[in-house]
Amino acid sequence: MVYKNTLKKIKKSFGRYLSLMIIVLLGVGFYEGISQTSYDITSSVSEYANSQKLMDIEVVSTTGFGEEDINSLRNLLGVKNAVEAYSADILVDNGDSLRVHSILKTMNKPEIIEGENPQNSGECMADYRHYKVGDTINVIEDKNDALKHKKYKVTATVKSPLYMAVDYGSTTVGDGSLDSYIYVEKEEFDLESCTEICITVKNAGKYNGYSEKYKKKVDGVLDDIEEIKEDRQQLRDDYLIDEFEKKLYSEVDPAISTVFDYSAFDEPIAEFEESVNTKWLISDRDDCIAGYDGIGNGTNVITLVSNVIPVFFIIIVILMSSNSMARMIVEERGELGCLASLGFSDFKIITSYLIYVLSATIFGNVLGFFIGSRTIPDIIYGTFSFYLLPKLILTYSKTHFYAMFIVSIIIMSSVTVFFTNMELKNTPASLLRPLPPKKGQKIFLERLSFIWSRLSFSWKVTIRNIVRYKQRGIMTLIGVAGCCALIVTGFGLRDSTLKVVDRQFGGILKYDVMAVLTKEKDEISDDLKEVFDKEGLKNPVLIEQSSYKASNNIKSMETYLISTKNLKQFNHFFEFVDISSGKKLKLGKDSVFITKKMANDLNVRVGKNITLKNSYGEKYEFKVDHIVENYIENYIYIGNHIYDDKFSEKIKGNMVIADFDGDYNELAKKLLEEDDIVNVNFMSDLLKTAKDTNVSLDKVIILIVVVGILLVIVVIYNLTSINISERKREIATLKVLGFTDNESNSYIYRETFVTALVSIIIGLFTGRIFFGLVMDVIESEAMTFFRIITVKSYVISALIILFVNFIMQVFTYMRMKKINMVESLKSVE
Amino acid sequence: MSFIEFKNVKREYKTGEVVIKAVSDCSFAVEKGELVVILGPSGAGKTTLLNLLGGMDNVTDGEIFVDGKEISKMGRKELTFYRRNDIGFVFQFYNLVENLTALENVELACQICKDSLDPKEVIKEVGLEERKSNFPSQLSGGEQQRVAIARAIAKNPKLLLCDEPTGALDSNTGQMIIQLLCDTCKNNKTTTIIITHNQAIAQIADKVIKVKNGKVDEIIINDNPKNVADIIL
Repeated sequence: MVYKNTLKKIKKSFGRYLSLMIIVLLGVGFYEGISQTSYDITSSVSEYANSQKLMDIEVVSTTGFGEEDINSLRNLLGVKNAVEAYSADILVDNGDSLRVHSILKTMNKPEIIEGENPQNSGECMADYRHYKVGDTINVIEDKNDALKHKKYKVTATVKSPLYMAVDYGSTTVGDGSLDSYIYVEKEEFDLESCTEICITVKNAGKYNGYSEKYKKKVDGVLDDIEEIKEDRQQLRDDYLIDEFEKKLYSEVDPAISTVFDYSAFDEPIAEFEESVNTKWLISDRDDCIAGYDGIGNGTNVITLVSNVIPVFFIIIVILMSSNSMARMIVEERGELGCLASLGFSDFKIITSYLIYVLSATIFGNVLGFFIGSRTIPDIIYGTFSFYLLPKLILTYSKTHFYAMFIVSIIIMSSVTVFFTNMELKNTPASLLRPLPPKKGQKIFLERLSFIWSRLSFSWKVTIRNIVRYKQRGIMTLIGVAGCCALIVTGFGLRDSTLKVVDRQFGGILKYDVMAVLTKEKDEISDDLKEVFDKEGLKNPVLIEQSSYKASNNIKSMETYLISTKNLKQFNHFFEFVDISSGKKLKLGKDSVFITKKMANDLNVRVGKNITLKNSYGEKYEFKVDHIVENYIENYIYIGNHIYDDKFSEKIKGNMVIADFDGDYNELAKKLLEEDDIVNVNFMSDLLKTAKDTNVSLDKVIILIVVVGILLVIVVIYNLTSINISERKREIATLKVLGFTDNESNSYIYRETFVTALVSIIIGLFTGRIFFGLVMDVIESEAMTFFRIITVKSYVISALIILFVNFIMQVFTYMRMKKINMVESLKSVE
Repeated sequence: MSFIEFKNVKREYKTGEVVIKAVSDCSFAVEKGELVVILGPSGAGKTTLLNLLGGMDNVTDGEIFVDGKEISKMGRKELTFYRRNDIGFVFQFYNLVENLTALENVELACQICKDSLDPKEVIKEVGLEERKSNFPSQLSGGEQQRVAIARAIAKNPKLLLCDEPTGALDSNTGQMIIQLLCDTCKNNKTTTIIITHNQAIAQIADKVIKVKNGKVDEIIINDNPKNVADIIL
């Protein structure tokens, strides 16, 4: 019987039941959706990688590989398979630069979109984004004559797992950016030895390709390769020199072989020995698959955000549900008393409320879980438009489901039990009497008559009412301020990521162009100077940039060492800001600056030493002068004196940075025609790429904002509807007195509005604080952010809440209009 | 034409299939400045009559004229302004706003109408000067009803409508309230209509309209109404 009553209760207060359910649904759905997103995306990508047999490691040699090299790699303990592959970068007739890959039978399988495998020589499979079946590709530049044909017919369009981002990366031909790719049979390559070896790692495929376990497996093999690398490089050099000599000797006419002066070969041999320099470049997926690490970084940030935001939800959910429960129990105290006086046990009564609350919780939970896991990953996935991704596989996490289920049930039950118990402590008799109406009373402000007497009548009423309904006011305040803070945090995250990018590329690094040289140079050669002048490059400076591992005893991280001897011009391109003093610095001859994140992570302070290790394992120590502002990557900047001293050689330079204002593509083409220049980067491209990467975070932020808005709606709806139903009689009295609908509305609504305004102000402040906390969590793990919330974001957040308030006012207005004077005034309820 | 005219007024309520006739075919007239008592047992339709007259409810059929205006034809907005400027209400349960002091309850009504009286003066008139800063919960029932009357008369209405004004009060206090209403009617020439089931109150009226089963049963003109002091509630 008591339980039948519960059903009736649900029917009667369906709006309240629904809002209870929606609150749970939003909390669960949002949390589950966001936290499942990263998992869904990374597991879809690794699933795809597995199905295409994507390599785990790529080893590229500057001089190719011999049979022995392949065998030695294949024989390493952790290696599952190692296959030889060919590739070459070419220019084609439409001006695009293409990378040609050999088709491997067992690895990096391209997915055929349309057409069939090449059957004949001179046929290829091509990038589905740029070519159609039947197209002909005309090669106009093939530097090393790597290919047999100058013309290739497209027999199939394919999607390659090697390219997971729309930005395919860089090349040494054309304007420096890789535009497309094709696949040909390896017989199409006219090369003596293969150019790279693709490796899969044993048991790595079992794990998610972004997981720690996967990384550990792969890192193990990377270390092993690193170990045999030196020997193999040396052996390759020896082999090539040997071959060169053999070739020279074999060219000698056998007829004169006995009289030939072989010392004539000494010089070319020595020259060859000097020039041959085999280098292995070993990379994991992060480095050799375009976009692979970007996807990882993107999902990482999402995971971090999803770990912080739910705290907020839990607080708001507890508040709102406890509020509506308390309200319901107060409204039904008569019934409670009736049940109690009829002799129902407290337990049974509490159970009837529990059924009400928990059924809403369970519905909300299940719906939220499935809606969240089903929709949110898709929405966010859609924003990874910068990447070329496989179809998303949606998953549902059982553990999450049970965890949230249990947590929400515990929270809601304890709230219900607490409030019902509190009411049941009253005797049944007192429960049966109606709750006396809230008494009016003087408020503190009235004692300050110099303020009070100046307020208009309606303001006095408003202020007194706010104080009168303190509890509800505080609820509104916490709810609305909380949501406002959530929205501010969302916008703040967005501002910060955008600001980071702007600050890093343009604020801290101020050059427009960076040209990578083929060889290290003492000075910019006159020829190059002339080219720079002609193309409009201004203030070119030669700098040295090389990568090192910086470490303390516990941790190590990748860093770039940058130095130059043209300090004056160099300082024009970098803005060094001291972290502690905020002062702008200039790099001097004896300066050592390191960037903030590296200093923090390695726990290096000013005056302490930092150790760098190069790829040969040689160590260098530097005493840090200043820690400088920086957001992306880690850098150590040192003056030329220090450089000369530590490396025991005069500093050279491998890059030129400069100002430029003009057509970037044109410039790149012109510069890459120079033999001295191997690659050209533009600041504007870096800026764009970095901004594109942020798009996915943008969507998460939009989600936060949307959910924040939904919460505000539920909160305000809940509270105003309670307000109206509690004050029906008062409103009816106003109507009888001849208040128009508008006047009664403003009489009631002014309170809500004032409360909302106060909430917004508090929300903006707490938003700033909450934002700081979120940043603390995110920053320590993923990257450094610029902590800023723009005025615009504050204004928009405030406007959003005001707007929701306005909409809710329209609803309450409708409800108030419907209040019937005659009915409401009939008798004391 | 009389100040108030009811012509064949009907009011029916539909709840689902059932039609309840609260008022069926009522006709009567009231002159300006009269003190009228509408008398009848509970459920006779008295309150419905008052609600119709006060612009809180709409007729199903028939016409109601007040001071030459046909209020039975007025729309929502017009009725609001009619209530605001022409009508003063006094209820059985006072219906004061709990969060306003006695004076403020009066001010609340005054701030919206055109020719309102000075709230402080009115509070003084009903004898509550001392207690004007008290909240309703700090006042006795009789005092609360006096605030309600002050609120009604401060609007300077053409018509004062009182629904069982003494229903929740003991007889002595009730008598004082009736005295106050009577004085208001005589001194301000305000047409006053009091609803009651109490026969005694009828003796002070200029006109008594007896209502039974939603119909006017009898209209009695009292040529010599008694003084309030002479009746026993």
